[in-house]
Amino acid sequence: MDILIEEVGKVFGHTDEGRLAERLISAYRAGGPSAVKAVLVEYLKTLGVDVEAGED
Amino acid sequence: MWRLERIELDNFRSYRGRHVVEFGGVNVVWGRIGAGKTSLLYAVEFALFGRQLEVKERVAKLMDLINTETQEMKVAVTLKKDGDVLRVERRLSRRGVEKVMLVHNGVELRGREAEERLKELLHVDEDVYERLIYISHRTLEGFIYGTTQKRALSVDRLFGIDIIDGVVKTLTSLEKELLKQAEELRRRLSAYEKYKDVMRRYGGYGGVVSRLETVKKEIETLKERERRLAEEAEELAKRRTAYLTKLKEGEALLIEYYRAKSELELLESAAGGEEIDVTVLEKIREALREALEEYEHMLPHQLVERLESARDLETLSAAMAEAYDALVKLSKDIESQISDTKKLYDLYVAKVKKIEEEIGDAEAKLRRLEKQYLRFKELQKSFQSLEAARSALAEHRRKLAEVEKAVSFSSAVRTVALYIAETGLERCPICGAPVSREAAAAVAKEVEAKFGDLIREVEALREKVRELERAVEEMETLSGDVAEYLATKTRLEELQLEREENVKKALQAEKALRQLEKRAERLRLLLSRIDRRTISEAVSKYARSLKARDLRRRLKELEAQLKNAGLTDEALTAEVRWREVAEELEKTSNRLTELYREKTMLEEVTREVGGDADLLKKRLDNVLYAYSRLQEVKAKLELVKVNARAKLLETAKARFNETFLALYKYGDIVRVNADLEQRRGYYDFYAVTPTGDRYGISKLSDGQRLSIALALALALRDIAKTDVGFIMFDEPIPYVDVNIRNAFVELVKTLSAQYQIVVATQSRDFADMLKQAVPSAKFFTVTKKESSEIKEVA
Repeated sequence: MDILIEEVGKVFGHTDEGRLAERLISAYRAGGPSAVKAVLVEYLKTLGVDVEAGED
Repeated sequence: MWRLERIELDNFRSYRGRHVVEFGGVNVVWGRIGAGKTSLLYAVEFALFGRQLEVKERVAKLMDLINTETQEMKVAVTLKKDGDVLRVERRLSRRGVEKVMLVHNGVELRGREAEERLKELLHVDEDVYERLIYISHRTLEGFIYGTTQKRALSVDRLFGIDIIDGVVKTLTSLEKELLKQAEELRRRLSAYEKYKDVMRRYGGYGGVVSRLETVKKEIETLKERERRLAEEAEELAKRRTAYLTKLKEGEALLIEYYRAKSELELLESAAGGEEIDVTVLEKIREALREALEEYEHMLPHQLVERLESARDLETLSAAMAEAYDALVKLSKDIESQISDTKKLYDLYVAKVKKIEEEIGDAEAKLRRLEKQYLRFKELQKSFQSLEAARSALAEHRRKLAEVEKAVSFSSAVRTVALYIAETGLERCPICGAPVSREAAAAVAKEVEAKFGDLIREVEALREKVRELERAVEEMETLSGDVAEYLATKTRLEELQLEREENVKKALQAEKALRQLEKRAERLRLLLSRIDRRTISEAVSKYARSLKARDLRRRLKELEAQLKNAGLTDEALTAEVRWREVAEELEKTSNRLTELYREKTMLEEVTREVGGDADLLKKRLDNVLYAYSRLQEVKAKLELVKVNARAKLLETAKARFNETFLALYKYGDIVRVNADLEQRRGYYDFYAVTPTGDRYGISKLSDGQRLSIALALALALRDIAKTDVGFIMFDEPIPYVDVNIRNAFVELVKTLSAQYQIVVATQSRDFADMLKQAVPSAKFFTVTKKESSEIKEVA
């Protein structure tokens, strides 16, 4: 049982932001900050904002 | 649980070549900083998961795991659990190819199958491994020495909640990026406002960009042109040196020659390269003269004379202008007359129309009264006139009265006579005169004979009176209509006369109007071909033509003189070209300067603004909206973190206390527990003494805190139900603190009953303490010269 994901579901509900938060946590576990950034860059693109996906 | 048996390194990080390490139950790895202790521990993680913490946290790249002097590395780990043997071998080449092979009880698996089986057997993922199996000083020192906040971070790391901090940190960095972008967009919008006039001039930002491109191209073209002109100028300058002396001698002539040539060129260029038609002026004069003659009765007669007698351009120009003005004025007068005549014509036409309407009314009236009038005329035929009829009626009434009187008398006489005859009276009953019966009978007979005639006469007269009465009555009735009829007829005749008169006048006005319009049209036609500008142009063209003729003649003379002075056509041509090129070069340079200035300005605008205002506003809106979304996500993630802390704490509580009591055997603490602070959401660890006193973590010793931290890690490890039976401590106690070291050594002794332990440290004292506490422990030294070396010390 993944408590973080479970709590995300409770706090965010079934929303786009909830799905984003789940993806961010999974991305961090799989690839650390750069993977999180990649997910956020993609999310921001859907909001019409371009952010450079380069390294910090 | 799986224990580490052996590790084989081939060109892994600082370990060049092949190195094999056989592990025991407790293993102490000692070496100075950078010798290769941590690399040994990382090798296990790489073998099991294909990556390791440094790579994941982007401190290093995967390729950095390969020894710098080789192209490929390999790590193999052998694990044992009861009778099971598991060997994991992982290779990595500089081309990025990673290969994994797993051999479990003699069964060989590769790639994805190998990864899946490994996870299944160990029951651990990379995250749990990094939190609960590989324990570094980072995990423990924050808990032991840190503030409440740092301790919370350490526990979060054990719980795996630090992921939220990692995510939030990245979110914050992107928020900063968004704020930066918003600031930049606001700056650009403000710059747009600053350059509003420029934008308007070029038709918006797109226009500015497009113009910039055009300017750049034009600059390139002009630079090329400037280069070619400079080359030609240089070439011509060289040729010029050959006849420079002669040029100086004939300088005065040359200056005049250039001036004349330049003036001629100007004149020719003003003519647009066409030959000037000098007859145009004559044609205009002729047209004006004809027009003046045609309207001489309406214009001052001296105008024609002046036009004809003009002998020079100035007088002719003045006379033509005067004639033109007079004709324009005449044209205006005629237009005015046309307007007046048209008004008159319209007036007559309106009058005629009105009269015709009246005629129509009168005719209608006559038609309506005609019947009465004809009846009256008919009556007139019978009775001449109303007066005659009235007079005849009076006469006939008088006659009727007389006859009626006679009838009455006769009737009375007859009655008396008949009475006398019947009665035989001897005397008249009326007058008393003697009378006989016979006489009376005779009188009666006589009267009776006449009475019939009288009666018929009365009847005839009565009829005549009635006829006359009807006629008079009818004539009296008709007389009003007849009078109106006659009056209307008279008015109709008058109206017809008036109409004819007005029609005549309208026709006269129309004729005059046509004549005037014809004149006006002719004048308009003339004036459409000729105006002040035409006259002025014709005069100036004529003047230019004369001037050009003079200049050409003078140029020929000058060329002859220059030739005599030794300046050949070739020299002159070269000299002329040299001057042209120099002039052209200057023009090109000036234009280039202008363009460079424009380019600089446009580049500044594009750099400062960088987009259309609407686009910039939309982008700013998007950025601010995205910022607000990220802030919301961040705030909710913080809530998730606090909720997860509470949940995990609740899950771990019982196991945590149990593990602590198994580790800590001094009896002064009988229970440990942890709650979550309500205010900040931090962890509140505390210990309970046998007397029931409760001590917060800040009041516990470092050793007690270390025991709590390890108990928590082990409790979580148990909850995670991993099947990995070893713990790796990487420099767990970096501070030279004897008490805490002692505490740690004691804990290792206790833990070694349940787990395989690997402790890596740079402190020889600490390493020796561990060896002394656990004499069965294997002791390895790690050294590094060109390559790391590991050796077991007996």
